[in-house]
Amino acid sequence: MDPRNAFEEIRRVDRRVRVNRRWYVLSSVVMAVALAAFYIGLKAFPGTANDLVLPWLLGTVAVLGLLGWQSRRAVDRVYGRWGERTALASLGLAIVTIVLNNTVVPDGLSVWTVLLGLLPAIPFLVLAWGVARQ
Amino acid sequence: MTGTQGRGTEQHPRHRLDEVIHAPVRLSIVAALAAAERIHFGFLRDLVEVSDSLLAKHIATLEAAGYVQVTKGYEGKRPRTWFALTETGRAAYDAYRHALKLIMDGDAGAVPGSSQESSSDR
Repeated sequence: MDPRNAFEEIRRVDRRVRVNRRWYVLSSVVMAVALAAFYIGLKAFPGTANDLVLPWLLGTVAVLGLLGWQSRRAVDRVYGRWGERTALASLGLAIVTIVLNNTVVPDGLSVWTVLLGLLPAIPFLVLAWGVARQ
Repeated sequence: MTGTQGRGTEQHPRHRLDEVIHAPVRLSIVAALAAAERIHFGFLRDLVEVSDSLLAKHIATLEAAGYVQVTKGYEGKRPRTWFALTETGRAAYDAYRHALKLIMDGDAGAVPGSSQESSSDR
């Protein structure tokens, strides 16, 4: 096999596998947006948000399920290594958000509501960035 | 192949090309696995554009060399097979790519780990 052809083949295959990564980036971003919207919405608009929790949950699960089905064919290296730890980090930060929202931050839209709402989303944004920059 | 040849000839980087990887289908398989944590049988078959049986044959060769790990499991009730590159396989692939690069650069005298190698890897 000619070395030049070998390199060409390596590049072709690498490109194809890289294309599959977009599903991981997309699902991480969806997860981050959904989490931020959930925590900000619940604190900023308590009355309205309570009615939207179920549709939000169903929509998010459906989108993530679809993205997960697309991406399962080739598991990304960064996602495979960091996916579980990202979920745990997000869960830990969600607990911080819930505790502070219930004890310190008053109801209504404020800078603190937004910042605390963004907290659980940060690990997923970092993961999306990590997968995308490979 | 190299046993009867002179020392100078053996230095040529083509002798460092791993014969297990340096076959068209197996190179595609290893290159694909190197770019991911693990890959599903169907995806790899479509990517490499071979039949199920030919893919299985080449995977068996790579598995026997210790380059590929095969994991069988279920998704619901459907049986699924996943492939991943082992640490040995990844090291062999890196060495293979390095040898290819040396050949492409026409840099037969370079010694792996030297500064010349580092600059050609960028």
